[in-house]
Amino acid sequence: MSDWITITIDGKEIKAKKGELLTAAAKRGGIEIPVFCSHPKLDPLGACRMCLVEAETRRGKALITACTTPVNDGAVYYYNSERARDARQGTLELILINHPLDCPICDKGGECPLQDQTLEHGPGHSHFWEEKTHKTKHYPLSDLIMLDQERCIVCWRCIRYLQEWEDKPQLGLFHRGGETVIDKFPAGKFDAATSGSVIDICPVGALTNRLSRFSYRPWELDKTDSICTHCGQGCNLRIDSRSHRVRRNVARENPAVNDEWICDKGRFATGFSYHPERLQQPLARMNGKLEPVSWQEAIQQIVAGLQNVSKEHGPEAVGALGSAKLSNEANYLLGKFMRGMVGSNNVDYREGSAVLADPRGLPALGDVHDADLIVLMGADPSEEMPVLANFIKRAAKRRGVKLIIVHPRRIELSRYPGIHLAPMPGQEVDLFDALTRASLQAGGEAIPGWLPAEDGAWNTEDVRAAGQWLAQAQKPFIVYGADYAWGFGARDIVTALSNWAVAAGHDDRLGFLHAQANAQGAGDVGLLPNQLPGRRPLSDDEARSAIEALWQTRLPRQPGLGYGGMMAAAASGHLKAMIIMGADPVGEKPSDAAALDKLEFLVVQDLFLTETAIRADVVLPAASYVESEGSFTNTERRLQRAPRAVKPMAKSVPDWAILMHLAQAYWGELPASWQTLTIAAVFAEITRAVPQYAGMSWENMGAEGRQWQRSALEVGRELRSHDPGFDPTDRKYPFHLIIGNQLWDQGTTFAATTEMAHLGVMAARLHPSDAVRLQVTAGDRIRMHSGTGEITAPVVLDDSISPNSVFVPFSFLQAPVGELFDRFGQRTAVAISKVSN
Amino acid sequence: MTQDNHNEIDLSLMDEIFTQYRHQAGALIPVLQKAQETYGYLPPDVLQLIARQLKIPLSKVYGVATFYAQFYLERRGRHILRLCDGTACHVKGTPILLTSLEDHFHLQPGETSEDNELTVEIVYCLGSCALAPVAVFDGKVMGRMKQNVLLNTIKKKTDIN
Repeated sequence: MSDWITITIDGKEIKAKKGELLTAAAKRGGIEIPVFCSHPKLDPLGACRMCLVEAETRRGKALITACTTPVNDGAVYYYNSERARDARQGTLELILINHPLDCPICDKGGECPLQDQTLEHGPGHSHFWEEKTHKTKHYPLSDLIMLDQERCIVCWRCIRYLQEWEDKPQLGLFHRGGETVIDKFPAGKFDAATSGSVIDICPVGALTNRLSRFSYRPWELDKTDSICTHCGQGCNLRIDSRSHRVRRNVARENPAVNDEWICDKGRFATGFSYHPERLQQPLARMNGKLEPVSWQEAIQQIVAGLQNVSKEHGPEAVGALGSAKLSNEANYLLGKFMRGMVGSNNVDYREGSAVLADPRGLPALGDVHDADLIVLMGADPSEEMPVLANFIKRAAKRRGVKLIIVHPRRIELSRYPGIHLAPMPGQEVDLFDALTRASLQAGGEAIPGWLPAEDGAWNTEDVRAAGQWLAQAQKPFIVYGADYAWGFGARDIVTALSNWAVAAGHDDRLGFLHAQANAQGAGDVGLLPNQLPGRRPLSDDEARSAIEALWQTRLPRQPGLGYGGMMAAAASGHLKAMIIMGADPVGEKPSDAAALDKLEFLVVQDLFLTETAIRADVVLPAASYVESEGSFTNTERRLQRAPRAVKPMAKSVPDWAILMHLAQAYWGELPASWQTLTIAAVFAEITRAVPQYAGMSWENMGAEGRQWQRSALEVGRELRSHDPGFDPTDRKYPFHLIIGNQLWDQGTTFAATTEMAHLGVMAARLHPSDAVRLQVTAGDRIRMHSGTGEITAPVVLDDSISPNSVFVPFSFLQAPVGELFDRFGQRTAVAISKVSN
Repeated sequence: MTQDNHNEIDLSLMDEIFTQYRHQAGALIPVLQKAQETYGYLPPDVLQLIARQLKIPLSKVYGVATFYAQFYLERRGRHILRLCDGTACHVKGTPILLTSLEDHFHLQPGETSEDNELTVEIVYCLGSCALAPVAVFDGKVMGRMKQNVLLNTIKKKTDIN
């Protein structure tokens, strides 16, 4: 261990790592040197002078800042000397001269480093009797964050966070001396997607949470270690509640997943858990109207409804939709109920069988930290996974890692050095073929005959360079997203982009970025029409008998219908009954209301009375994830616990428990194979049904979760030929429809936090040149129609959109983009016209 | 910072300055100085342009511009009057001079007249205490200042109402 050296503090020898900062070394030796500006995740600065210690130097003893001093072998320091103590006390006294000491009404009071250090190191009295300097209090930096400039001790943590992690230096230090303030440029923006991190790291109460301020005292909060379910990263956070209401979320450190950051959606969007419009009790349709009923009555009606349909039309006439936002347990039990009790394989979820995701998701989120090349294909992490986006920015900025971005729009990450290739829908496979060729050539490998000739439109310098970069990279981070894995032509695109990874020798590093919290897990636990738990095909006899033994039942053999198939079958009258859990097909595609109206029986369990729920025969109030227990599997196959933080709203019940009640009533009694009465027992059963989860338990998932081994599932990748791309545009429908996720959208769980409603701009986005051609200006409404349907939306002009295309975000209430494509495809072309006023 | 009254600012005047300094590291302060020479102060649009052109975060440009007393973020008058209110000048009557400015022109220290003719500033000691109270009008030092001399000078040299 040659890296270990010895230093001396106050006469005590301490082992330290060569080059580490004195604050860190001292901490290991049991000496907690006080700091304000220093933060383990930020670069050393030495601004606050709180960490002054004496050091032995060639010119005698000198005061130094411990937080900026790397230790050397044999160095001698004095932490407890009179001079060092005086210096620190003086620093604190200076800081406190103008600090307002309004601790009784400060949100930070009770968990404030300034309070703690004043107790520990403070002078206990002040020499000053003059009036304190007054600055701006209650200064809203944004809809989310309040600044109090009087409380600020000018430690720069917030400024540095925005520079070093978000690369959006929107806060600065202005003016001078005693008048120095933290502020943004006048009329400037403060809109970083992870802006709320500055609240967590502020060592005083200068930056506070506007949504939760004054609603708690820190010491009276119940603290629950949990995770965020707004996206597929699964950031770790702590839910702080009081009197069974979520008060705030704060980041929780997990180096493998989110370091110690969460985005503003995860931090602030908690409104769904206490929204007044949440479903309070079960509803059942009586004389055409939904009326409140008891749980018993509701469950009985469901059992009768499902059994009637099953008896009359066969179990294949029943289908179920689960949700990528719900836990493994809820989705697993829905699949078990449908297959084992009803006898139907019609199970799916929106991001399920229709999406050609790598069944193993992403190799590992942490790979981004030592990647030497980052390749993003049809994915926009800034909108889908802001914390990962920050990791990518940091890799680009600090380590000079190049980005190769293949995306039809210019995305936020396009501003970093690298290559941005923007194929329009239909051109992707040609591009990936050209990249495959370039990587093969760079590696000196043979070019298969089916690869098209190289004189195509993508025979460019950029493509050759990108192909070469990937072939030469040692540890590339390669991801593709749903934009390329969903809808018409997706099979060919995924084959073509996989070919590129194979050609470059990095097929084991290619992964899929799931935008939803449990899109990976819902598939793992078997909520797919053609797969059993463990991602094994229905035709796998060994798997079938294992599941049949576990569930003590016979499983249907006929593959079921997927999401689109069920909607089509409902429309054609072949599907007669559905259970929809946490999904809103009508919200996605309003014209599907007609399909659901044709059903003889519809059950919906959800948080809110959605457009789908108002058509149901029975509506069950589900408890949100913070009111339930459950495990979630993030995009890197990490299983993490989300324990119950508050009790369920009104008469709502966790989804998994609803299914237990349903199974009991459906069978007349709870069969032996359903005696899983706790979340830990359900999870234990899942680990027996899903081979990849073997060895895990509710307890041993621990605080940081457990990843299943990527090698536990083989995905053979090799160079494969494919069909050419398909350009959906023609003279009648000349515009490409580009869809994608937008961070600030109008999705149900996010929109429930009404304070955040103004963060996003929901609009159709057009390139300015197209706007001129169509004679529309910003703010006009346009009508977009495809062969399937039409929507109208206000226009924003945006030159990050390619000409001849229009971008429409998902989860846009007044313009549900699902209306524009049929039930199986997400790629289409549209005609655009201006809506006259 | 108050918004200037939206008189068009000709940003193309900055082109020459950028040509001169673009490739010079640490050029922010000279660029700010030249910009102030050009416009008389540093309008927000100019600060934003400087940040873009020099590829320095706007928050840092603004930090530097607010740090130094030499930079002005608000429009200043065509004529500048500096009155010393250091100890000697204060004793010898600067407060009386300030009162008369307030009475005649409704101007307080730090303010600019509405017609943009005159800005009044306070300084603390010009090193000419023997001449107290000292005024500096458009760079010209005027010692042993009296009320009527000051008011007459302003009326003669400016078009202020």
